[in-house]
Amino acid sequence: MIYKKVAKILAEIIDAEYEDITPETELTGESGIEAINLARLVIQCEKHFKIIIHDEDVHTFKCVKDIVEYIENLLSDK
Amino acid sequence: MGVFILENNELEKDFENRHLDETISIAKKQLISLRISNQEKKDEITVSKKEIPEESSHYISNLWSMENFHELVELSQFANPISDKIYEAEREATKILILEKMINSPYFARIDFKFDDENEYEKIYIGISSLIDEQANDICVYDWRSPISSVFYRFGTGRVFYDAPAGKITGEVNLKRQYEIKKGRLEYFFDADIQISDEFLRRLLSQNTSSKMKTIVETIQKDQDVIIRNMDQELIMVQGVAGSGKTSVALHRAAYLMYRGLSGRLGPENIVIISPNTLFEQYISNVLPDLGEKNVNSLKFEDIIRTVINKENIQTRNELLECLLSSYDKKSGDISKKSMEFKTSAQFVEILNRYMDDLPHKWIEFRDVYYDGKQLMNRQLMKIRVLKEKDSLLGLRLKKLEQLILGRVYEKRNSRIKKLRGFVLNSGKHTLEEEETVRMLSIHESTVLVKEIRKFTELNITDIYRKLFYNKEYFYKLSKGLELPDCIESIFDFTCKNLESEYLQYDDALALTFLHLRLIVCNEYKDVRQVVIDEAQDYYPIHFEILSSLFPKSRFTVLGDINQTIGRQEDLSLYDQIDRILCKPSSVLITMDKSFRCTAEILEYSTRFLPRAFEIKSFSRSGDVPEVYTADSPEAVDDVIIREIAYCREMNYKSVALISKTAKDALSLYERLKSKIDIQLIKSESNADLSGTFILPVYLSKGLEFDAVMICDADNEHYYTEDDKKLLYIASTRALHRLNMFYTGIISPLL
Repeated sequence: MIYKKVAKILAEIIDAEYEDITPETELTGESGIEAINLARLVIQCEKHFKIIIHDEDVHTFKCVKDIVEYIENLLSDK
Repeated sequence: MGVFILENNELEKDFENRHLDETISIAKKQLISLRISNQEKKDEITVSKKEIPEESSHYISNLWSMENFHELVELSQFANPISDKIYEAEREATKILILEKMINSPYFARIDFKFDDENEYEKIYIGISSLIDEQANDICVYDWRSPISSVFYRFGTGRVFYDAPAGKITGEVNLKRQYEIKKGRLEYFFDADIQISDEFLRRLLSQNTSSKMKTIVETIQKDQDVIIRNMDQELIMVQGVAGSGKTSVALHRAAYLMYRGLSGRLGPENIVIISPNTLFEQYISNVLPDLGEKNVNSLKFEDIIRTVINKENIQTRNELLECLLSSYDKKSGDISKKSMEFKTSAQFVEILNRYMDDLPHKWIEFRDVYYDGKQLMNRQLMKIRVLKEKDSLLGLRLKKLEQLILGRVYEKRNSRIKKLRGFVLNSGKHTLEEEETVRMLSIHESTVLVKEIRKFTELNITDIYRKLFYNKEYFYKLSKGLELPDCIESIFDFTCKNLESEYLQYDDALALTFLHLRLIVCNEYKDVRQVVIDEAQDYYPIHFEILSSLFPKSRFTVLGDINQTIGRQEDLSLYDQIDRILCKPSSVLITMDKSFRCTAEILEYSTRFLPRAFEIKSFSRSGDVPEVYTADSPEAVDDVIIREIAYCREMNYKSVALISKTAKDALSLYERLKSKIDIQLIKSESNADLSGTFILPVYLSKGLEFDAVMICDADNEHYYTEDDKKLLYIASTRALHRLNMFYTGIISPLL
């Protein structure tokens, strides 16, 4: 499952427990994660799922479920 | 009403009884095997996917409501074979429901028909749905909507014809028989050589109203049948007087279209009824199963608005009406009425159209786009590009432009990343995480860039609408050659003030919906091919513009009564406007001028509220003459009203309505009476069960009928304008059997 993988990647990046990540965990905005960690997340998702995430779209990832949806859409178009 | 079964008719009676038993036993056999097969399917479904609820009958039933939509999306991820099975099970469930009804009453009429090229008469039984004996390969009962059934509604005995898919079929009818069958027993039958026996109809009409809307499948009149079955015109408009059966015709037409859809390529998702209110929706769910249909999509206009502009806090039509009618503060009531009239008019639609054309010229601020230090797009060239392409909506053209710009950005990405890497290396920091740092910078600048681009590629409808009212001079320029209301300045102030608040006025919500549909897009309903609209007089030009955009490929059936408007005046030009806006290649306006609901006396009384030239034919049924009662004080009038309620109960009238002008008046009457007599206040349209005594404002009584009606506060303070006249017309034509008026003080000059 895409969500599971994304959550694992994120947990590792921010050094948290996987179980503490939820689809609502915020990525951007004031209570989001650090910008450098967001960049890491984007890079690793690209590598793992073999996709390209456009930098112009990253600001729309308000929380985990948004990036998951984005990846799902890309994969279903493939 | 005479003896239906004559003594020397015992033979016929025996025949009919035997035939009824045979038909019912065929239906029963089918029901049993269908139930088994349905249970098997349900079991299979449950086994193959435990997540799918066993009771899946609501699965496809209403594609249009938001709740079910999510359900549908959720369900759609399951494999197709299962959804096919669910669909099958759903269809069987509908068929089971119909068979259960048919076992109670399999048919209501018979015609003996001889095709021209044959020698023998064939007995054609007509019921709510068809029943086919598969073993004998014989049609036991014909669906009332089947082509041959139209003969029953349109002709007496003698030469007849009907339109079949293969062409016109002629023949002869030598018997027309109608049945009353209840719980599988033949109560009586009678033969009639005219269309539908007036006696039969009169008897049905003189019954007290039941809580549910009745089907008229047995008593459809010829001119009603013509509307129900019309497939020739793309736009059918019906002007029908109060009580002429508009709503019934609308529902029967929907059922007919569903039936026709089965043989054509229309599915339930291609047919929509626009219901004016919740009550109508309940009619639909009550009546259509009795007509052999279950899955009809209905859509409330207010839900359309909410879905399109995606806002919750919107004034409802009823709230607006209450505000218009109860406004004792004359000035504020006046301005909201004038604002409403203007913003729903054809003139305002024209202003909005001109404004939309002008948007890319004047209001969209294109800006040069730079990336990686170079100009990617020039603002003037972008503007020309958007202006040149005219065949799609502005919102789509701008989205396309955005895609084009971003495509150019993506091309330059690699070279940009290289440059960014150079910056990072030269800065001497972060060398350990070079790739991540570069990406972070790129994300940052890309975010800034795309937000700049969207300033001109994304349309904010609310902002666009605001700008129109905040720039008076511009507004006047746009409306050149159009007639503006005298109080336009006050409308500006009123609108600007309202647009600052979170709460959206009904008329502004309509304008926003219109702009949204014409600028951005709404593809949701593009597959709809048939739309049925009731209470057309409640809609203004902008409503029809919205419907026209929403259902571009659809045919329309529009029913209304220009005399039943609330808070405004309307005349026959309404239908010209509808015709012009919906703009279909072929259209027709049909008049239904015969009222079946009220007694001749009530009808005669009601016509005083109509323009002089207007004529209503009554279906002669007589009753008490309407009276006007008065007393010296409000308390004394209340006592008279209570005595009248008591009398109605003695007469065994099941539904009694006390109709007042506004919800406020209704509440005050209720407060005075509730301790003295058992009575209910209707506050919203949610109540479809109408047995009892009720108090309600006129606008909530629309489309309803009651055995007895009392019009309260019939004094010169409540009812004195032309608009009030229409209210009195609506109120008085709600009555089936008895109508009376009550007032204290000075009598309304309109009575």
